[in-house]
Amino acid sequence: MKRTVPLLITAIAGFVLIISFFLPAIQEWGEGAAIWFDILAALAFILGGGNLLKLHLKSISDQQAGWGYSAVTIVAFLGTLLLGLLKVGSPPTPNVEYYGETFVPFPVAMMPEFSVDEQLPERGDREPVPASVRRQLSVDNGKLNFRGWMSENQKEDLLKYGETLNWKRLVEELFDLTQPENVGGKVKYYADHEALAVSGVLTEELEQQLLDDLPDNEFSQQAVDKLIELTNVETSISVEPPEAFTIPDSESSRIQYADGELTIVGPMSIALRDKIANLWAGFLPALPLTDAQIEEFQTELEERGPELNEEQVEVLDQILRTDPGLSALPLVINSAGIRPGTPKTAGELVEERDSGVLDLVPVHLAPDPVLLNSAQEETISSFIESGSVDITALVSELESLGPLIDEQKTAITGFWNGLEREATRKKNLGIGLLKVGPLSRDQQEFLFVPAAEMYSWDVAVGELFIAAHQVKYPWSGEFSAQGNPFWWTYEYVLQPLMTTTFALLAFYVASAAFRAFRAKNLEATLLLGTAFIVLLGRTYLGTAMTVWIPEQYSALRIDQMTVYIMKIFNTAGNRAIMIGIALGIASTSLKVLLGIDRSYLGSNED
Amino acid sequence: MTAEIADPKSTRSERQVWAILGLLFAGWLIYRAVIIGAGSAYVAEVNGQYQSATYNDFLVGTAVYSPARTVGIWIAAFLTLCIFSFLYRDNPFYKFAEAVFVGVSAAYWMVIAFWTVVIPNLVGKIWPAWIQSWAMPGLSPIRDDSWWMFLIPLVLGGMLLWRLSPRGAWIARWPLAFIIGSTAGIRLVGFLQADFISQIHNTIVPVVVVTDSEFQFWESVQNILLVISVLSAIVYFFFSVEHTGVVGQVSRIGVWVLMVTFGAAFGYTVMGRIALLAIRFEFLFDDWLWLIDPAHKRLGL
Amino acid sequence: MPMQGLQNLDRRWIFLLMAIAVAVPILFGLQFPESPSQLARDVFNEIEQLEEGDNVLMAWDYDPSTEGELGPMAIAFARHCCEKKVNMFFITLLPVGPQMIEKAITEVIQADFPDLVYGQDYVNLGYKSGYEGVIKVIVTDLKGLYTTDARGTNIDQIPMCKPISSVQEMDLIVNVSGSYPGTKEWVQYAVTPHQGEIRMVAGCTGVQAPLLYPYIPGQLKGLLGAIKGAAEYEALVVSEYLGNDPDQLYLEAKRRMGPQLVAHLLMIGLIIAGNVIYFRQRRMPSPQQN
Repeated sequence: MKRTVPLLITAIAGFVLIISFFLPAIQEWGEGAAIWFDILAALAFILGGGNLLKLHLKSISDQQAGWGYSAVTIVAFLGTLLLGLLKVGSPPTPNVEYYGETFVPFPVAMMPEFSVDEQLPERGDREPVPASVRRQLSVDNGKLNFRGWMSENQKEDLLKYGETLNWKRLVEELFDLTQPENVGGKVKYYADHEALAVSGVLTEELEQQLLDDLPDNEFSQQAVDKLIELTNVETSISVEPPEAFTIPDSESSRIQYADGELTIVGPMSIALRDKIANLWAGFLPALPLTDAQIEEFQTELEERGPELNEEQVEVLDQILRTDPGLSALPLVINSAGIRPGTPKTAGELVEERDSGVLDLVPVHLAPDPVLLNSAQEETISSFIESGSVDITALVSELESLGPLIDEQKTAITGFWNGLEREATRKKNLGIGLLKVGPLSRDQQEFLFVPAAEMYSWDVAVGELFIAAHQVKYPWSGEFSAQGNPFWWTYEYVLQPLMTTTFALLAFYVASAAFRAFRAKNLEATLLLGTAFIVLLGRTYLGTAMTVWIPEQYSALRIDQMTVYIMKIFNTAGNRAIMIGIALGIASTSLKVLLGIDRSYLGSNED
Repeated sequence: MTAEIADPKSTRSERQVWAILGLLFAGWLIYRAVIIGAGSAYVAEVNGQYQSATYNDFLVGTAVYSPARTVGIWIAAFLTLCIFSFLYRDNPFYKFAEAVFVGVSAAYWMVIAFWTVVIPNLVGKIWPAWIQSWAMPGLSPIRDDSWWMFLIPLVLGGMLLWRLSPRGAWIARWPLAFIIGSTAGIRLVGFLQADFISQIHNTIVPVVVVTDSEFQFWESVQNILLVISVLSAIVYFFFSVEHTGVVGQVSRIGVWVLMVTFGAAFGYTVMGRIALLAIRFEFLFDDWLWLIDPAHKRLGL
Repeated sequence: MPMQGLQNLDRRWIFLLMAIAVAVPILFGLQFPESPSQLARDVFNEIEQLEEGDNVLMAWDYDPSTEGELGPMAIAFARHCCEKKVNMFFITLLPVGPQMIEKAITEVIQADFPDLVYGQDYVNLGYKSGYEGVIKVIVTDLKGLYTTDARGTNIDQIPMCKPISSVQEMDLIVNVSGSYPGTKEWVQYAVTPHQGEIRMVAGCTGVQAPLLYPYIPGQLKGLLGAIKGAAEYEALVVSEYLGNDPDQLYLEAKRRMGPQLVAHLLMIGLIIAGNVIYFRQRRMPSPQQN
């Protein structure tokens, strides 16, 4: 029994993998076996760690020679293991933290149920409904029930489940039905996380609406109370904001700045964070400078230290003159004015089909493009020429001169905010100048301080962003996130040790070359000669030594000789060896599978 | 290693020389570290995430000095020198570094296996809702239909770990048998197809190469040489026929081909080894001692 | 000069010579021009002919032990693929491989291509244990093993992963291979069973390179051998995309060829010296022997 079962397992596993290679019908079996194998390979690493611990503990308890080193090994082992398994110092993974939203636990069972008098589509392959809706979708008495508020993703998954237009229309109907009546778009339900989520702050008005959308019971009331409590938490940091920092009226109820304290009520979303750090801070974009301005800039810089050298002047000129592509602005606005046709819903399509339309077109006709008129275009070019930085003024002026849709406004601000900032340009200039010459401390300050201020503002906003956030999954972070102790262990202990251990080989190969390679006979000489040619041919030396050989005999150049040696003789030799090894592996594998070779089972019968 | 090197007893004068050299080196290191700042590291932190930064960033003011990473660089340099010290002779520093290496790498492997395979591919398949609720929020909390298939590796895995127990060694043989069997199954097909059949197939090349109805002399010579070389090398491996007469001659050519092959392999091996050493020296000279700055990371110093 | 003494030369002198041969060119920044060989061109062209939006599997099978040879190659591969705007799927079969992927992502993609979006243009699928067993599975069923990416995002929610069901849908595999498992295993378990469907180029260590030549060109479209291969390919990428003043990051292999040349010369010198001593000594029998 103790020997037969393992022999059987070996044979079955092996032959399943072999046969599945040839028989597509059971390909999945082979895949399954390979997946088990991969999982066991991971467990083998754990076994390896366990074995190491056992071995060194024994060495310590027996006080064997060098047991002190065993102690070092165990300390290093346990320390690294704990840091990694506990994910010490790992921030949570950003993409599952839902920044800016506040969660409160809310089981699926407590959500309202919606139903329609329809059936699931017939599917020949008996594929179950998509996993994302499985907990919420049920069928009984000819009714399709859905518990909770359906998300866009769930809708997408359901749409794909059936082919027919009727099914798609049904899914749309169900989707509309399952949207909360009052708080649609403002409060979400995540079934996977079994949580109600509010963006920003839960206001009193929203509170009542939310209670209307949820089942009328104690549990809903408690959940909503909790949401109010969590979303109204105030967070603040001390910071000196940039001079031009302003908070737009629309957000002034949530975000305030007073007496060196920046305060936010509720959590901060990533979009809001970016706005505060960039848009509201009012950092100016880097516009190209004129000759006079460049000269002025240079004088200003040279007042603070030594004169620039020739190369530095060149760098300065080049960087300050670079056009960030402002002339593309009209094109950007015009392309934003061209809108594609929106896709039709399945409901609309069904209606069209029922009314007798034969060729169904799945999209609405595209609306007419909104393009800039000549007055608007002129305004833009004079705006660019003037070197003005007041983009809001430009937008309102454009609006007064002709039509300007929201997409275009977004495109303008997006374009403007995408431009490099003045502070960044100064910083890059400083780096560029330092590469080709010296700068005094004053000059460096002049060039670098704006970037440093921009950075420290960014860091401060980031601090507030993190402080205002309520962590949802503290254990979700990467175990080797940069900056945490486990990463540190890799970067400064494991990586150097691994690299250096292998670097030792360079020394041993040199010593072996000196001692072991003797041109005792023809064979050995062939080996040595080839090694010489390859060593020379794979560096610039080989090329340089024989570059005088004319082109038609280029095969005699050392670098070319290397190529032919590798391509012909090395390929041939290794191919012969490869064929031999392949036969060897095949025969040993067969021996193992057929139970002829049982050495892996060990000899003792226990 | 010759006897005199292995002898751990050093003479007194040798010890003195080393002591003086060591002191000089230490003094120079202190100078580099304190006066120049060598081995310093910088970091930028935004949104609670850390990013490596260079001295340039620090100069500009967009990064701060990182004591933890600076210590890290000095420890990395120390460990590097510990390993290199083995070239002189075996010594406690080397043994210490080796012990650390063994411990850290075993733990590292274990942690990786745990978080990247055991959690998502085994436990996460059997109890997805539980894993989703704390470790992997991105996972779907719904079980696959074939989730029960993962009970088998769970059981086999448990049996494999039984090896650590002093009793019941036979228990670990089942998973071992599975590992051996699947390895044999995977390799049998892989090697036969890629290294046997395909290699024979790759060797069947035209010995007279004609492109656009023009005879390609040089291409043909190459192909002829290749085919002859492969065949003769294979003949050398035929041990069932005695290597005399024609077979002997051919197998002799085969040996030559193999010798050229080994020579090429040696040349390439040397090439690889040296690059491995170069990257280590680059670390010592660039990141640690700040003697060179090929990437212009430290402007204005 | 007594030959006997040289024969028994303390090998630490040879170690010292080696250290000098590598250290001095690094300290003085010795560099040489590169002229790419055909194999490097093959690799370059194979990536060059990809189109925007093609799917490329970036199999980063190396770790710090071979980073000296392979790091520059991986950086150049990543740069080239970014320039071609292909979809990059990073995976690794080595436990420490994720750190190498991280390096390519932070130093190339995030630093020089900040517009590329994670999940749309590139994704890090990370490490799975099982060596060739992993290849065996993902060549027919990627999601059989990779249910999430390295950051724990459900693979079905990553836009670029949605249409991919197996490695067979990749337009190219770019493999950087340190040891086992590496290029050989990818050839055996991915390329050969699906020859004609899966194309692959690789960069590998000096030890592996000669052993992989028999796979060229049928099973392997191009191969970069060791640091020299890296330097050649790097030169091609630089001259095509990076102009006259490239970032020093993309010249790492070229810099490393400096110590390489001097050390190769030393190796040749050592072998010759060893032989001279040996033959001289054979001619005059040493006194102890009689």
